[in-house]
Parts: sequence; C-alpha cells; structure tokens
Amino acid sequence: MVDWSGVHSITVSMHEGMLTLALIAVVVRFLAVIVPKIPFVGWLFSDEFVAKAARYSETVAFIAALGGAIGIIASATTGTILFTPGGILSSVTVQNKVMMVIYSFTFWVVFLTIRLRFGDNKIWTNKVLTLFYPATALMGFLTTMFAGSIGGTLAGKETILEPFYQLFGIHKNQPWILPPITEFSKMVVNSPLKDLLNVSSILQIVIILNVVIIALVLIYVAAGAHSRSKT
Amino acid sequence: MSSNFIGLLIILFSTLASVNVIMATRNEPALLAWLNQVFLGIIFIVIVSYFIVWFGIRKDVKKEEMKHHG
Repeated sequence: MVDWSGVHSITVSMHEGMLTLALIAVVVRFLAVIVPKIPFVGWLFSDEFVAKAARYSETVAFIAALGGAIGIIASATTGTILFTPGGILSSVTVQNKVMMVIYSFTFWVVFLTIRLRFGDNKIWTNKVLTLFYPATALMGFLTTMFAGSIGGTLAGKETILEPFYQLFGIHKNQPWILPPITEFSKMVVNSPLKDLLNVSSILQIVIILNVVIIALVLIYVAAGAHSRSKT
Repeated sequence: MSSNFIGLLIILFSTLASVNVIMATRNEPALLAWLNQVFLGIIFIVIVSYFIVWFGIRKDVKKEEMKHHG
C-alpha cells in the first residue's frame, strides 16, 4: 500500500525547492542588472564577475521555474489522490490551499511565457520587464508559500506564517472569497435557470457551446495567421 | 491585441460561464463562489500581466515599426 501522504510531501518538497531556487536565481539576475549602476557598490564587482553571474543565474532561473511548474502539476496529482476530489470540495481549508496553488501555477506560467516570448536580452534591457519579470516570480513564490503553509496546518503541524495570519486576522478555515463573488454565486444558484432546464440538457448545451467557442477561436487564430502570412 | 491572447480569454470566460451554468442546477453557492474566485483570479492575473507587458514593450515595438518603414 502506497503512503500517499509521504509521496505528496516528497513532490511538494521538490517543487518548492525548485521554485525557491528559481526565485533566488532571478534575484541574482536582477542584482546583476542593478548593482553595476549603483555608485561605489558597482565598483566592488568586476564586469566579468557580473556577466558570469548573470549568465548562470538566468539559465538556473529558467530551468528551476520550468521544473517547479511541472512539479506543481505532480504535487496537485498526488494531492488529489491524497485528499480525494470529494474531500477537496467539502473542506474550506483545502479549497483555500488549492486556490493558492492554482494562482501560484498561473504566476509561474506567466513568468515562463515572458521568458520564452522575449528572451533574456530583451527582458533585462527593458525597464518595465526588468521589474515585472522578477515580480511574477516573487508573487508565484509567495502564493506557493501560502499553499505550503496551509498544507503544513492540514498535516497537523505549526506554520511559521502564524504571526502574519494573526496580524491581519486571516482564518485558514474560512473561505478566502471576495463578498461580491459570493453574492453573484448566490444569485446564479437562486436563478430560475435550474427550473427551466434539467442537468442533462444543460450539459449538452455546455458541450455544444464549448465546441462552438473552440471552433471560433481556431478560425480566429487561423485567420490571423493567414493575414500575417499575406503581409 | 494578439489573437492568441483573445483566444485564451474566450476559452477562460467560456469555461467560467459553463461552470456557472452547470452549478446553477445544484444548490451549492459556496462551491460555485470558490470556482468563480479561482477562475476570476486566473483571468485577472492573465489580463493584468498582458497589459503590463504590452505597456513595457510598446516603445520597442514602435521603434521596430519605424525601422521597417524606413
């Protein structure tokens, strides 16, 4: 019998380690851009050292972020087996954790997309991207940290973020949902839609709707590619 | 706006609408609120990131266009 709690701990440790490494490498890369511009401090480091640090840290950041993002998927898979889909849907604390993991994954995907789209040179020569690219890594890391903290609580252990939660009055066992979204969701559930349609017909509508939308997106993208190839 | 970005937004919003339509038949507002929060969070992160990047590179794009047109 596999102990899924242990397997989940291993996958979480792996992805959190990789994402921490990615953040450290991005900070080093950021410093390699900023430090030479600071008077007195910049003179302490030779150009060769800064260039080497920049080259190595950039590669490490990209590979670690890619590994971490893949690791999040692995952790989500083992976490779903551990908590079961029914358990996730019934526990508010687990829902908060899953929400943080999804946000973290989104931030890291944005980070990787920027890197793949613009490349190293373009990112670090552009003022806005120089600030925004490390910011996405930082946000991704912070959301990962919150998810890990809730995971620790679920495992029955203490978290180092407890003073932070107490300072801002955050409760892990209450839903972290904005009031307008709660109100909107109540309106949807209380709408007359459920009286008009039964579940099976709604599912049919949803499937047709999705097929139509995906077809429209494909046509739109193909038309864009066709017009670009003409010019 | 790039067609890929518009395509991504259409997929995200259509999934959000589908989730709301499906959940409308079930009496679980708390679960729907969580799903809405998750999807709207993703959409928010994607849109804000896109526009910050667009704002950052717009001058570079203009320069490249000027080069192409001589």
